[in-house]
Amino acid sequence: MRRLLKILDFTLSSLLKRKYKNFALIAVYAFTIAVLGSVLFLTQALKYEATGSLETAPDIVVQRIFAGRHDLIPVNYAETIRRLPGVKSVSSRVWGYYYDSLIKANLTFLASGSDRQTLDLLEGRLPLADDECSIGMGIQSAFGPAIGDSLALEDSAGATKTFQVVGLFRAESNLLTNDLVIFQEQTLRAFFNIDSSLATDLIVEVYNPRETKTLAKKIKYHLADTRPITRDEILHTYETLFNWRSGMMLAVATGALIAFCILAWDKATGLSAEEKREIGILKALGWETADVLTVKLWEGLVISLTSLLIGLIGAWVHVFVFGAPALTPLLKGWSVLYPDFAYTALIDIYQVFVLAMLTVGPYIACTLIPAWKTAVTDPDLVMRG
Amino acid sequence: MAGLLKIDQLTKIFNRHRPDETTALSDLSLTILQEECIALTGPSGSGKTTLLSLLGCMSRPTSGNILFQGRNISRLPERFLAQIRRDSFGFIFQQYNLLRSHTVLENLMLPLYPTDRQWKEIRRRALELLERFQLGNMHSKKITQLSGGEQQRVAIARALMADPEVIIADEPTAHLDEQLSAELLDILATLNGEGKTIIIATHDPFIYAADIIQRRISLQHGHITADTMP
Repeated sequence: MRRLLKILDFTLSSLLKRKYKNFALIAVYAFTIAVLGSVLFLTQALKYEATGSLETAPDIVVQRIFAGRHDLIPVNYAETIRRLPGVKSVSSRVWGYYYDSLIKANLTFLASGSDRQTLDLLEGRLPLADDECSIGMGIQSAFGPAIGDSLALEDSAGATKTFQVVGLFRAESNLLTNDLVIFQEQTLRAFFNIDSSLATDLIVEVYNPRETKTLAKKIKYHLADTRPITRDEILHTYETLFNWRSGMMLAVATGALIAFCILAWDKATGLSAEEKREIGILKALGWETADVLTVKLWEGLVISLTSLLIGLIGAWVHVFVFGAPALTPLLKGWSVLYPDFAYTALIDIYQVFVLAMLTVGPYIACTLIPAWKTAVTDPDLVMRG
Repeated sequence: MAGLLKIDQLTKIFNRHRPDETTALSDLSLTILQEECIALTGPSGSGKTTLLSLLGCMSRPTSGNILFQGRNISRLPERFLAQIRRDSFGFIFQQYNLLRSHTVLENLMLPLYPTDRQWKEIRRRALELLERFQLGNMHSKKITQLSGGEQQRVAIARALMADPEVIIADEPTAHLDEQLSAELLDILATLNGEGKTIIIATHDPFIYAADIIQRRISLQHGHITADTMP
């Protein structure tokens, strides 16, 4: 133990002697880890937000498919579904998209009562009159109206309609409500010119969640022109979407990764003449190969774990304190109005472990292998160069 | 005086079975007695440094045996060789081989780091040696801040850290002027007087013709050409 402590002391002292070089190394190393860590943390946070928001989503959403595209569904399809054993309730939902040329963004319009999960997220109240609406944070940021102000929109006939804002979503998950505007159902039907016999989709609740898949199959069997989508399928879609996005982002981050690999390769391809000479001297003075490797292992651990810690803290601050400004457009933006909200600070230990293995492991190997090659050579030969 | 180091039919070949194969030492036999002060002489490439590195366990012979205190050390595992190097041999290199970025004190303490000795004890020993070589006030200086003569004295002090039986010096005066060379000889004479066996490789007449040299061994092309007692 005494021996190990002295070797550790020598290691730290040696690292400090080359402080500028080592600080530069740690800076590059930590930056790489921060980039990779940010992608992983953000992906994880988005998945959490998305899946958390969908916990109260309907068991099954039934859409009508016409010519391979989503089309309005007859409201009377609900009767057919309601008769299926295991179905608890069926209700219609009216919603649609609205492109605003001024802010060049797509907004989501939803009829009040169509999606019960959003009711809990309201500040103010839901619209009760034809000329009222409730809006998400993104809409407020883009247009500027607060509760009590007016919002002017152009309906399907091209006429400008003015709505008073009576509610504001300060959603736990802005992911769903950021670009959302809620109207009364009749108001929205008139706005989009949707007949009362039609709806955008139907939402189905079941008694036993285990039967959801079977019921979805039965709905498809009885109503061949529909597409029942279960909550699990939506969750899976989110997972796939975020995994794909994070994969894309990691591909973008490959630049940083390549820079790191070059750095590691530079170390792996051999020690500098000075480092070799130092190992030769230590060996000549009676250090064993194991002692030299212990020094190099400690050096590698100090540099890589310091970098890992700084990188992880950097990634954490970037994602959870500043909201990942560098990555948001790439990872989060399916809407033009990017949700601007604080992510729940969650760290998946498994991901941190993988990140550590991908960065610390190769670095340690790159430090030890050339040192070992030199250390097992006769000190006389090493010092002769 | 008892035999300390015995070399029997020692051969060292570098880059064996390669086009640039070089025989540095060939079938060399020699006995070195305890407390002897020996000068190994010969032109560059005669095998002096190779012989020193083999004697000091810094490399292994291609064939032949080296017996140290009656024990064959030529085939010992690396771990034991390192221990013998540390405990029994003190090296003074031509280039001093000090760690330039470290302080004088740290350089001195280096040989005893990988031991179970207490930190305080190692530091005390290092400071004692620095005092002995008039370097006491320089312990916190970096090696690069020292003159050539001071660096040489640090190298000698480091060689004595583990109180070895044998001091091996390779061209110790190569970078020293006459006055510093004389100082070095005085130090080596004192150490020899304290019972250390001293082996010096040199082609500096100032050294091999000095009074302290009890035996002169000449090498040429890896063979002993003369072994005389001046």
